[in-house]
Amino acid sequence: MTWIFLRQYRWPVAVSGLAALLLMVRPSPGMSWIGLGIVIFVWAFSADRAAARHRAAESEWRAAVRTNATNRPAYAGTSSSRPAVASADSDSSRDRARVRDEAIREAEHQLGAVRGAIDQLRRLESDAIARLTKSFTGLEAASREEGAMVRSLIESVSNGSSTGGHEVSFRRFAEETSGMLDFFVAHVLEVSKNSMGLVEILEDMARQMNTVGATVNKIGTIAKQTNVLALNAAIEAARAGQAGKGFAVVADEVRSLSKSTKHFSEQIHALVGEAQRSMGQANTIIAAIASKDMNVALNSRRRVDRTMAEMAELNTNVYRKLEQVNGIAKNVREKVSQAVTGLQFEDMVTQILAHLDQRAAAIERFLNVVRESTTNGSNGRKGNVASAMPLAELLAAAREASSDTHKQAVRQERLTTGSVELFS
Amino acid sequence: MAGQVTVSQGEQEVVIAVNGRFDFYVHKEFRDAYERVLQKGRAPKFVIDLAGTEYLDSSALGMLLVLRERVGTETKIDIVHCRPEVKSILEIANFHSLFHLS
Repeated sequence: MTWIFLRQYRWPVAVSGLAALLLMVRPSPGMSWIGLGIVIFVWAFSADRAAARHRAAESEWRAAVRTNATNRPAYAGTSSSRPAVASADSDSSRDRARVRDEAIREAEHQLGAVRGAIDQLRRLESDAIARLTKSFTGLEAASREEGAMVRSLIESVSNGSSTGGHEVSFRRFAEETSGMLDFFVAHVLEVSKNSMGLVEILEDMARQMNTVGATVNKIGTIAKQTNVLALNAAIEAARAGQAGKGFAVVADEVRSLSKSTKHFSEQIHALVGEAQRSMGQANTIIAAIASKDMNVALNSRRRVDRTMAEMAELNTNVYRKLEQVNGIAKNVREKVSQAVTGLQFEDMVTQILAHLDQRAAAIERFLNVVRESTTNGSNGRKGNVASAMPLAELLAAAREASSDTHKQAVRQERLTTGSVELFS
Repeated sequence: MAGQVTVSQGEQEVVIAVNGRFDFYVHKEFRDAYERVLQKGRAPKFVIDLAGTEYLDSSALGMLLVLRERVGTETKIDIVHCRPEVKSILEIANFHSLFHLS
């Protein structure tokens, strides 16, 4: 006991002893007595505190050993330690009550922190899930939009035609160019064919004109012969004298007619010559119209064909790439959809957190029972039997509440599908 | 070189060969070649030999089309021994639907 005293209060003992020695050295005897008094008081008080602490520690250690040995539940510990409290003296009982109160307060504080953390966790989880859901939903919508765009592109590429009027389709452009080239070639052919037909008609006309010229020449010869004939007739009329006078007039008229005929045949000959010259000019013009270098069309056609081939290759490439992009987009949509499904674990987590909270509340209720028992124990040593009933009721109520929580947990487990293990 | 037209008439077919440039300036010779045959009576088949044809323009195509019309659809016309360039031009002109090209 002395050893414990000296160990626990070595500083106050040492200081007060040194002070007493110093006061004894001083000449004043009054001060020495006062110093001695102080030393005695300090020593006595310290010894009393040391003894009380030692006893409290001993009884606590004994109670702990007893609790561990019987392996009783925590709430039973208070009632089992009550005889120890009752048997101890008033000072040690007060200390024990104080320590227990402190422990209970600490436990309640810790429980409060746990419930606060659960609440914070629930809020954080709910917030995070809301954001994730929103983000994934947005991602899914964007992915679906992208997929629709890619599909529409694939459609337009594979068809090679644009659904909208303003969209530029290179394939259609090439097809139109090709069609225009075909039209141009057909037009040139038509013109050439008609020109050659015309040329043939001109040739026929030229031949006919030659016939006309020959005929006109024959008419000229006849006119010449008629003239000679009229001249002979005039000579014969002159020889006949008076009797041939009238005949001479006729011969003269025939001669003038033959001259007129000669004149007209010469005119016709000249006109035929002019017509033939005009036909020659027409021939030249038609030759220019009919003769078109087909190499221009050939080169154009080759360019268009080459462009078409390149376009087809490009289209094939684009189509292949778009198919790949479509596959990726589909994959992304599936993954996002899976993620959104996965986010439904929020419900389970919320249930688990709610249950944890309820468990913490149950512990608080049990702690309350313990506290009540402590205050009853310290306040009324006289009314232990009378206050036992409300305590038992409190305990029963706490058990009832925790049993409800347990049932609820079991029900939640039944409600949730899948292999998630909840409380039991 | 200026185009030249030669005609050789066999039992079953009339072969008209065009050497050099097949253009507007051979039209008279070309026309005479088939008109002479047609005046004698209907020819069973025409063969246009373009082995010696170096160049061919739209007037030649026009002449061939006029011939096609002139002989009627029942008479076959083969265009043979075309050089690649000449054959390309005939194909552009869609002649394979009217003539037998080789």
